[in-house]
Amino acid sequence: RASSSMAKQGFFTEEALTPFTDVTSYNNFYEFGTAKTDPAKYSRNFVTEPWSVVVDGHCDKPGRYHLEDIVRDQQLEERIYRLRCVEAWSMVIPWVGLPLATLLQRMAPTSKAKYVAFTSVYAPEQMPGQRSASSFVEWPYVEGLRLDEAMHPLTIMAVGLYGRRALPQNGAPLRLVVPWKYGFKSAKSIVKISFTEHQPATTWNQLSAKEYGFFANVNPTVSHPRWSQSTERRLPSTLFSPNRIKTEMFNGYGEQVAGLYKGMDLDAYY
Amino acid sequence: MPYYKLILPALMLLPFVKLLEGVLANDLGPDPVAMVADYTGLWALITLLITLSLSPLSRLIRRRWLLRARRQAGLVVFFYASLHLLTFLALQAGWQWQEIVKALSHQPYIILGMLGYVVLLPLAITSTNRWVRRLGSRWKQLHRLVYVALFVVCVHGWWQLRADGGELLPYIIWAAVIALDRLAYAYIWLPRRSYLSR
Repeated sequence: RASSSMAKQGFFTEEALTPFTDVTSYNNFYEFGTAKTDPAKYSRNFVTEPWSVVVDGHCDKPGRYHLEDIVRDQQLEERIYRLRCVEAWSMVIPWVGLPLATLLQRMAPTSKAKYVAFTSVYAPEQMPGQRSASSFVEWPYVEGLRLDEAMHPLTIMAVGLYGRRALPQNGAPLRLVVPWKYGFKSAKSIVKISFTEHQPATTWNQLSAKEYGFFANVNPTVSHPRWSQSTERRLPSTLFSPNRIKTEMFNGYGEQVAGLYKGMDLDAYY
Repeated sequence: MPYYKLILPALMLLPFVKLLEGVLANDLGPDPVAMVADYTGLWALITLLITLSLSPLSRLIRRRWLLRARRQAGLVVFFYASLHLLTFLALQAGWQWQEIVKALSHQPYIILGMLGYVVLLPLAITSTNRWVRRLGSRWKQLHRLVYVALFVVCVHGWWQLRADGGELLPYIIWAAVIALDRLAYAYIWLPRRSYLSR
């Protein structure tokens, strides 16, 4: 069956899905607030149409790409991925999206492009977290990948989940999904893609470099300074049986992605 | 009937009743352990702040009975703190001692949380009338440890913040006001008053 080869490539897993209501009501999207329920609560009127993405840096086709043009003529795919949060919980989510490589190739990165930087939307009038006076974050949220990570077949730009359009709390209309990295690498509501020669700054790394590295690959052997990463709670969990499972290296995608990090000291490049 | 000694602790236990409702209705969200840990920790801090606000409040509104409810209120603090510790030991660490020892030796915020509890423990034990009599003037000295607990608990919470201080800031400010009031009362008003009463 075609599906078993898809599973072998890591494109889907047969683990139980995290229910839609949990995926859409328990989110880290600090632009809307730091409580898990804030994003669903405060994003109801978030405007995702029209939407466009500015592309710049080392590429032959920079410019402004409209969302319709990004999605038009694309075969959207369903990918069922594990999502491992750096806070030691995880979900299984059926995303809908397109391989990021397909998208980036249209922008024709030049040989100077070594990294891809992503910028999330800055809309303080719509996002209470960005207006918060007590926030330690300098908005907008920025993230980045090495070009080979961005081009990897597992990396997708998601536009939906559970067979429907993504909701704002999940990063609508356009969010990254990099399943072998901690969730914070998967930038939400992206408005800008830049091809850079040097490693771009990333929000969590700037906030606390000791706790959050640029790579942020899921790695049970490297503890977060404030908690262990060796296990995770697979959500939904219950009070008296927290559904704790062992965390897998590269979130279980080692077979597909370990080659990207050959020869790298993953204790130093966490 | 010292009803005030019951009413105040009963009010302070309302958040626990709400939590119990959530547990019974299975309505604590997809990650209930984390939710309960945060909730019990936050209410331990809030009830501690309420307890420490009783004496300045009694001065402010000139109601002595508020002072007499302090020990009961303090026991409610200890109740929330115990729930919070149990959540960590039983639900988060699953009584796996290896893991608990590792957390207690590696994770500064957990060490501080434990320290806060260890400081509160003798205060809870010595809150009976018998202990008050037995310890005499040393009882008051011992119970000044509550300010150590307050400080430790505030840092314990602050070290867990990641991206926004807003969640904890109101309580930190409240704690600072209590501390300033105590210092002012001890070093500015109290000596003058004792001078007058001589």
